[in-house]
Amino acid sequence: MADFERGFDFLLAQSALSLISLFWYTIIFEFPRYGIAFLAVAVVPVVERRRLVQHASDRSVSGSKSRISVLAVGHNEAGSIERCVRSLRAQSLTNLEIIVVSDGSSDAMSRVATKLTKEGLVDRALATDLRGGKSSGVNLAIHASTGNIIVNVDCDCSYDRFAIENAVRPFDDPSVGAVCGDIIPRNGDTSLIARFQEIEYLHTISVGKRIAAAFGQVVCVSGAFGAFRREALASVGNFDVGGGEDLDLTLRLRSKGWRVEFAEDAVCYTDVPETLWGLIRQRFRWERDAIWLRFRKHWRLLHPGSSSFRIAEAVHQWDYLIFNVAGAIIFPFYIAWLYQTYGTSATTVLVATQVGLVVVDTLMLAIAARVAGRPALARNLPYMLGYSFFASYIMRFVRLWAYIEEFFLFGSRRDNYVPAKVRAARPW
Amino acid sequence: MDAAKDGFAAVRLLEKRGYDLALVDYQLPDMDGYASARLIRDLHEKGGPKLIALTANAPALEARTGADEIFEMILPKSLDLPSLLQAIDRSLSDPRRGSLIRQAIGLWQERGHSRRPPAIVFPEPTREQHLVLGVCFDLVPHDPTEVILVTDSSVIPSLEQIRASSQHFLLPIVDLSGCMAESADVTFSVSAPDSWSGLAACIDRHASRSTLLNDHFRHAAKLEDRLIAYLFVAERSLAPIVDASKTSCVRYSGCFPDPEVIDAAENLVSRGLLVRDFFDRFHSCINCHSHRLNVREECPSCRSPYLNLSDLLHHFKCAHQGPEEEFRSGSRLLCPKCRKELRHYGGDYDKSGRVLRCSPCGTCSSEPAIGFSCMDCGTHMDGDATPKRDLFAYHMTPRARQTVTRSLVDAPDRLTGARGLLRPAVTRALEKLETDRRKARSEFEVIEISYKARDDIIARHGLSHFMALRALFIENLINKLSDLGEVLAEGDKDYAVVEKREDASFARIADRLLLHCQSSLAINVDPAFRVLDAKANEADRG
Repeated sequence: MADFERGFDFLLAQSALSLISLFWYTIIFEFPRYGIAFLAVAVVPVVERRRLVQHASDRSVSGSKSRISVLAVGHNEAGSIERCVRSLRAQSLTNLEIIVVSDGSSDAMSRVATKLTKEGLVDRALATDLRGGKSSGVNLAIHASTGNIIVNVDCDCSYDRFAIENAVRPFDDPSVGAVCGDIIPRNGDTSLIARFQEIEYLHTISVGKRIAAAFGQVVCVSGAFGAFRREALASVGNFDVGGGEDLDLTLRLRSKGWRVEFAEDAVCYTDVPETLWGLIRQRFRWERDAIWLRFRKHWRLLHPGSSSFRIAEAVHQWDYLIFNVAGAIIFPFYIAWLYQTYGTSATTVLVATQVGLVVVDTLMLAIAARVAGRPALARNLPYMLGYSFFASYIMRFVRLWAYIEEFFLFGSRRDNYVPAKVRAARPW
Repeated sequence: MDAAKDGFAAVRLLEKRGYDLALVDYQLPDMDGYASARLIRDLHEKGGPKLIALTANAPALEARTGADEIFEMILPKSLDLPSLLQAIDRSLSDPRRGSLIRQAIGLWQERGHSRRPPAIVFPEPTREQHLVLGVCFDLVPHDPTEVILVTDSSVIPSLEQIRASSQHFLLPIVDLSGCMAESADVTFSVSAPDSWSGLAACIDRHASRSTLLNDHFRHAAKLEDRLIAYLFVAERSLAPIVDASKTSCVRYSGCFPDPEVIDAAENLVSRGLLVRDFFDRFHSCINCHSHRLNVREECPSCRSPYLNLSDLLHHFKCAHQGPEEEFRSGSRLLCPKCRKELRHYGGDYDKSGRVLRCSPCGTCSSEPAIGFSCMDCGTHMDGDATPKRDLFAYHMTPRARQTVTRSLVDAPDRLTGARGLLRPAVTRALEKLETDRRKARSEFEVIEISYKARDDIIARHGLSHFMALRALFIENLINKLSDLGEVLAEGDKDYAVVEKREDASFARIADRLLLHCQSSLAINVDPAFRVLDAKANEADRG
């Protein structure tokens, strides 16, 4: 208790200038994000209203004009493909062309798909004998499809009844090339780790992408639920080699000048990793893929002299580089510096930072729940302290390790998410 | 054949053309038959036609000198046509033919027939056929015909006509062509002794069993009555025979008209006179009902059957995956997406599987669609949408044997009695219950159940929905009635055959019962009932 009081006194004794010198990491790497978020919450409703007005006029005819192909590509998804297809057949749009590709599955997936074809639930089922990875499977499915809107779904996800109808609505605007749907974890109750991700998805997708869309900054149409204009896909040659093929495709579509929208009312439910190790492995993969795609394959987007340089692309590249990469790298140095300079008072600074973050995070949760229109506040309130700590001290270090591994050890080349034969041929 | 008005004209005609035979009337103007005949004989020293005299005064002619030498035969007037024809036959025939006929008669006698079977031939025999068949069969019969000979299976439509409308419908059809298989009643081949015996036995069987039929069935007019009578007489079942020349791919034994025979047989099944036995299931054309369909694997998109198995190529570097044809550029493989050449199997690319590629539209699929194409009218159908039709063989029941042989006077057919008003299946159930419980001396009443909401439900939810509701209702009723009776579905109404009890007539509890059966249904079928048979039942017993 004495330590706490001493620390409290220490903080109170600081001048405004010295407070800045104490909390510089938080001020540089945390506040801008929250600042943008708060700003966005003020601005977004105005932007949203404009978009809504624009949509309202042709809302009734949406979806009926287009032929929509839904592609479900998976490897060994015998257990989940039927549920996925049935949830697609229960969509408000009934004239969907559903195509299933079993990518070299060794389980009964192609048999289940054939059965569903015979029942008339699937329009076309294709199966390969050798696994080629998600990209090649989706490309095969695109080839077999006939729709002018292509919806890419994950076999282990299920969908809200109006998900596809809402996801294809933005295509009424001919400049829109891709639409990202909202993704909500459906297994948030199974573990603490899953619950933290539920809060995270609410922040980063449900609200984060809504804000990003308002500024034209949706840079990843998630592989779990994305809709594309066939013409747009054709203009970039469909999917390229993964992993991170969803991020890669979105970056290439943006480079070609297509607009990427977020449909907040197109909801996809997915299972998130329930164990810490499962989550760490997933994030290792995501962050490594982001690094090789952003800074190896698409490094030109950062280079002002390059022909593909555009301000809008440079913004998200720098945003990622500063707030994700630099933030993670500098954090351990910041802690070391604190302890070296202030000794035990450093703990007080970190605790105070964390308390401040919990307060802001909780405020953000309240705003996010309101913006997303879901009863997420009361449900997640008890977990905010843990979530805040988890995000700062675990996930930040996970990211750091992923960056180091990718920058120096080319970790993504060893990721078995993509078959070895494909990784070996990948040029970046 | 020519006719001459007098003797001179006859002589002139005979000089002009060669004839085999002349029939000469004795009483002729100017020159009588005798003088004319002599002149003809003198003019034709060698050969010449055979002469047969016709006269009302035979003794006078026979008294003339040499008449028996000049004339082959003297036939008295008046003369019936068959005798005349027989005389002509005899006179023209080879003397050896007579002996052949006698031998044939001997063969029939060995098999218990005193004479050659009188027969009619389909189609109209050629001279050669007439000559040959005339040895074994009596083709100019005076007695009632016993068999129908068929020399060519193309006449089956005429045979169907006989079965459907001629008095000869009970006669055995004898296949001489060897191509009618089971359609005919028996086959016959002159050189096969067994076939002589088989035919003799068949004729005997038809003849003897025909006499067992009661008058109604022996002279039946309705096709179904003719059919059951025939099946009884021939002692056969109505069996389907595969025949690709027919649109149904099947014809039935016995040469009854198709497809009417199936309806007739089904009626007889519902009357309890035939039972059926599954034969085969056919897919039939939705347009012309033909069973001659071509079953094909087709492209799910454009329905073309022109599918080819194609290797799938996966280019690792750009993730493009598609059928090999799209990569082919002469002998090289070029990726259609990135235009890079694929050289190194396993390094640049691999073959990840195979797909069916539709040549006309280019669509790929792992699983082809199944389609049917009608060979008769060209209609195309999806596999799932093609109607199916089951065909059956039909066998007589013991009840049928009783029905066709029972004397109408002694025991009137129950179907024509008071219960004739009831549906046949209901009558059967009633009779079965009565037989089963005869000892208990129970009495039964028939309740007809109709559904007032039927049309309304069908209009709103479709027939299948109504049928599902009705099935559920009936199941409830069966459970409620337990062993008190039986419930039957017939046409658009249902019937309950229930035991009559002194303490509680069905009518008294029916309202409550039907309400209870209705209560678990999602939609009210609005059942109504009517007691049908109480009086008829009592009358029968009395």
